[in-house]
Amino acid sequence: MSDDPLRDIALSSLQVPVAIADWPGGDIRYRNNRFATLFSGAEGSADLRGCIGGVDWKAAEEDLGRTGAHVADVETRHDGREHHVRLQFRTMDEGQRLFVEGSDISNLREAEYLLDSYSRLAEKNARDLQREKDRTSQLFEEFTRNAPIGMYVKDGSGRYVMVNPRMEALFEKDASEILGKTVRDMLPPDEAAMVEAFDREILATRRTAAVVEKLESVGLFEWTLVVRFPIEAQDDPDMIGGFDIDITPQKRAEEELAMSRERLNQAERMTALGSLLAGVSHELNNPLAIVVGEATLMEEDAEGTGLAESATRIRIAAERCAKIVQSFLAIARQKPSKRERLDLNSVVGAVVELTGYQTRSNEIEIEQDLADELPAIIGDIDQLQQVVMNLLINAQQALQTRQPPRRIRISSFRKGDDIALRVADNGPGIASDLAKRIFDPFFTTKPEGTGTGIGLSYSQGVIEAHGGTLEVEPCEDGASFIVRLPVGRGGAVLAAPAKAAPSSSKSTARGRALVIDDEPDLANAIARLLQRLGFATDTAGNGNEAVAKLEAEDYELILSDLRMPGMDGAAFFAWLGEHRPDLLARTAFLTGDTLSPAAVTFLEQAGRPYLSKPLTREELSALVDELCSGGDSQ
Amino acid sequence: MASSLFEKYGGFSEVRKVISDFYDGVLSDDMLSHHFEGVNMHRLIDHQTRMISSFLGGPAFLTNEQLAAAHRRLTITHLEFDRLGKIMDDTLQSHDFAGEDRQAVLDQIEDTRPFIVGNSG
Repeated sequence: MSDDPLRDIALSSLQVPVAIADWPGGDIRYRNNRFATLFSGAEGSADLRGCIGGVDWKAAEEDLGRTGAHVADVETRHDGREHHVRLQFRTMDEGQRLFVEGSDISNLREAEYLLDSYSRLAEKNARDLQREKDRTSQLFEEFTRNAPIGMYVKDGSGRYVMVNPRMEALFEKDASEILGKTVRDMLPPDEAAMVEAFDREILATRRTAAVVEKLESVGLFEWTLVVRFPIEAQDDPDMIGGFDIDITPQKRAEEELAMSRERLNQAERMTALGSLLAGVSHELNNPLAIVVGEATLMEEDAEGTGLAESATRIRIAAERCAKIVQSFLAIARQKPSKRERLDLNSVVGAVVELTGYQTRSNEIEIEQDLADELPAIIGDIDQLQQVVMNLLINAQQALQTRQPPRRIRISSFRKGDDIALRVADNGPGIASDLAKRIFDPFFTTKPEGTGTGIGLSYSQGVIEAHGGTLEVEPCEDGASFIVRLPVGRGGAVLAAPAKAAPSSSKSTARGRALVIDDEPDLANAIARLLQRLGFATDTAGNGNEAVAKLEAEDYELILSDLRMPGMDGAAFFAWLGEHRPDLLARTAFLTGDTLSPAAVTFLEQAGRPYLSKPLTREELSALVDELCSGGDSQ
Repeated sequence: MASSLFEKYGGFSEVRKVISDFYDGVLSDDMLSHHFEGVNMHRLIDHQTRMISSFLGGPAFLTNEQLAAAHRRLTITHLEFDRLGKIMDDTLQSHDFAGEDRQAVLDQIEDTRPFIVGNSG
């Protein structure tokens, strides 16, 4: 107890720790229960310094000596937990005593502790977030740097604010030369206007849009898929982001695919056309062969009379019909019907002369620039003349829509291993979208009734059948077609059959010939022609009948059709191979359509000579001579 | 936008000046000063700077749950919280914060009321 009982009673009721001690001695004169509880060391000790830990007594003495007061925050343990106590020291009784009063600041310390902890946690989170941002930023930089597509951002005024290396390559400029610039600084005005129009659309619609562009001035990508989208940045709501993706390989593949489809379509059309023509020619060839055969016989029978001249005219007309059929067949079977060594300039000269009247009357000037001493080509002169004629007629018709001067320039020249022929006019030219279609069968740009759409298709078929090409050339003024034909080589020329002298073997007995054809009139006509060539003849309607004849007779010569009911030509030839191989070398074939792949294959494998119906007397004579002399022409 | 307010008013360094002035006002206020006796004001100003910065759109700082935990034994009353808001408003005005920007900050302070006032854990 202290020396003041009343004060002791008052202080003992306080919930805060209170004590009174001698000063500077430190002997405790009074302490209430709370003080005794919190600072248990004081229970048995009378020394204030001894029972309160954590006070800087030296500083306290200085403060108390100077101001009479001092504050110290201390920690003490009680009931198993930390107590934070703020102790206020005040001298009293003229500095002889020290009054100590404590207040619990545990809650405040807890709040401070928590705030510090949370703050450190927030700092750590912020650092982690920043690291994540830095990593994302670095990753994005790597992403754009390595991206195989152009990536960029433009601000609201169209200035580039971000470009990746691919864009640098695209513009062939360093980023420092692009950033801050607009597309007008990068591209020609017309292309820049196109880009800007697209940007305006993006900003107006606020939508992502894509377009395929072909910028002539940008060499890196030929075809570019451009994707642009609006970016509403905080400081610029009208920004535009974009990707430029090189789609040239895909575009080329598409074009290649389209060309393949076109070629396939063309092939299908030609196959259909070929089948039709094959059918027609087959049907026409047999009656034409009869007409030719009968007319030939009539010519000979009526020799020296007016009837013979009529027969000649019938034969020539029928042969012309046969040539027309053969020409159409040439388109379908892609093979010239006749091959001989030709001078291309002569072909041109003949056609120019033929069309001379028409060109002069249309005030068209023909310029010929034909190279001297061109190597010969191998081909069918009639077909090639028709091709040149078609090109000249097309040019003439095109020029009629133009005022004079009207000019057609025909030039021939050597081009690598080929001979080339160019037919160019100064007419209206060919629209680029039509250039691919003009070779399609039945496609025409000519007025109704003027063109059939078959001329160029036919011509291309003929030239390709000759191993060449017929193409439209790019041309600034008018239209230009170029024909390329391979130079004729070695002795591959098949000359036209030699004209047999009409009387050469008329009365010479040459043995017996068998003519096999399912068309009795045709078989008879050929048989009668063979008789004029000195053969005794038999006819058979198919292979089966021929086999029966062979059992009774021996033949010097066998001429067989290919397509027949029952045993056809191929089956008959196989039968011969098995039973009468001695006759194989005396056998030849007659055919109205060598078009079918099976027929072509058979003729190639059989290796026997053949004549296309309708056949002339001369052709038959040449074939017979060849077979009877032991020749084996193929 | 909040993040632009943080930039607009000069970032941490300027916000710290505001908060420093704010606590000058708080410590000289009879109703509030007792809460801060013995408190390390330097650290408190740091914390409060980051808190108000987050209100202005700066980096995130304390969650509401953390605020509640830190204040749960401090027995702060609604009157004291109102008084604190008034001092903040005056301080922001003295630092030339525009009316709507001031209101944006005060609104966010108001949102923390349930986590600070009368919070007894």
